[in-house]
Amino acid sequence: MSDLRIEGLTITYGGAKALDNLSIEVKTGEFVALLGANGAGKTTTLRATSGLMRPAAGKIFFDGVEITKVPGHKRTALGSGHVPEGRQIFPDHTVEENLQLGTFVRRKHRAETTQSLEDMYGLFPRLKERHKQAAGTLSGGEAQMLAVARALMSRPKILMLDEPSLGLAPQLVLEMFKYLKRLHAEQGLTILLVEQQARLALQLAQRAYILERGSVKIEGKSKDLINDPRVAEAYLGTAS
Amino acid sequence: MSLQIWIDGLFAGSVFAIIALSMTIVYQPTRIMNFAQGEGFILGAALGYQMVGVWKWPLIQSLAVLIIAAALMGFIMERMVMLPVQLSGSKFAWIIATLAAAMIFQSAFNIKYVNVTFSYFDIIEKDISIFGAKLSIQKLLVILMMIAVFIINDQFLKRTLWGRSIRAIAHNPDTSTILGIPTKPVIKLAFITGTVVIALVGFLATPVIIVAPAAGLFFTIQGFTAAIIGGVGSPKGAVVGGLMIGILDSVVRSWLGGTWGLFSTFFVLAIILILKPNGFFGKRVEGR
Repeated sequence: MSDLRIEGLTITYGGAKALDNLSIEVKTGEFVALLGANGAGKTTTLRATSGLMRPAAGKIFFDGVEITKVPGHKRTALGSGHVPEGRQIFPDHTVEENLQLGTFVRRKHRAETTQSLEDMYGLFPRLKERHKQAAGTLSGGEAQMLAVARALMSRPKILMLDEPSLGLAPQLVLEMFKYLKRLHAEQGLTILLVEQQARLALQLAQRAYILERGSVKIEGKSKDLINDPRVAEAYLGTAS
Repeated sequence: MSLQIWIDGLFAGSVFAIIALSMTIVYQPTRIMNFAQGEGFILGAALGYQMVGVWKWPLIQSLAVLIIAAALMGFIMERMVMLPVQLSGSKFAWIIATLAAAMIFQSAFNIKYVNVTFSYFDIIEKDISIFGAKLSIQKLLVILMMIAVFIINDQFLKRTLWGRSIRAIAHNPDTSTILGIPTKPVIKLAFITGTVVIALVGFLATPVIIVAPAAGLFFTIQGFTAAIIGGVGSPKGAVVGGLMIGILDSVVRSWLGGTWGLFSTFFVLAIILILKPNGFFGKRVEGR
């Protein structure tokens, strides 16, 4: 079980409501996209789920257990993984140190974490080539891979990604999404993807929520949403 | 110039280096320069005076009580500094918070010890002679402690996962949290460790240098100066900066007289800040 359930979440930020009674659900093994314009509350949803923001109202359940008041670092141990907006790799740490920091919650299982490191290098060979380099010297695409790999090092049950395509060349975005698809298909990882590139996200995800001003405006299966005229007009554009 | 001056400078430099190291320990996860840090030095001096000098307690017992008291002070200091910082969200909250903490502790010491300067006999009264110059065991202990604190801190940061986590927290607390690193407990531990370290050097050095209850800010400024010269946040920098101002002070004093010692320290600081704005081993700190 690794379902995530958010019920009636409200978060105020400097007087304004960043989230307004938001409810979403991600079931075990699902790939769900969270879409919407800038400022719709996508990042806030992920940050609240990771325990970085305190909700004014509402509840968050993970694996059927309420985690609303659980401190952020303990949620990682419960199985939530988060690739933050803008990657946020540690530039002065080496690539390998970044990955090792991802194993913090599993630090007592040395053999296992060494294996995970090898697994990650298998999945992202370019990180292996650069494992001794300071992470700050990586290219945008490599840094994004590192951010994803680092989050995977904690063996999350659910992986939340905040705009992994941001700042990447179109070719790299496709490559990135190919990895995500593989992780979901081959390892059965539950994924919650926040994305600006709505069309791409809808091609990957099974379901999607479209947020507007902090609440869910439209929800449904991806294939229905792609053909929904409301969605096409507001979020997909006509050309893409 | 006699060897004695250099040995005295090495001792004073070690004191400043340990103060700078203890400030570095707090700075590493928080990026806060704790202006109340020197009060931990006074705690060590005051308790040393009280327990060893007045009550004649045995050394081990005094040390044990000192470590517990310093840990408690570190714990309280963390709340005094981090709570306002976390609640206010202002970029400058740490300045006023750490200065306020310094004032509060300083007042407490002043109330308890009116017209007292802390001095007591050497805990181990023995000298060793190096080419005719005298080095008391007391001073040697301080020098050895400086080396030990430096090596442990440096290796801990570089080689252990906890050490790497501390560097990660400094860079981005939120990202550290989502990786499962307990940022707030780590910061508490840094304040506690830093305070224990500085209280220990206060305890060890006071029989040699004689300390006034209100001198906390003086030691803070010396440690701060050492840290800036060496490069803020770098353990190596703390040691180099501390030794530099200690030896410089000692040499200039014997050469030009007492009042010139402090002047030369700040003169060198000014020159170094012009030539190397980030100190010898410091990295440019991006604005946060």
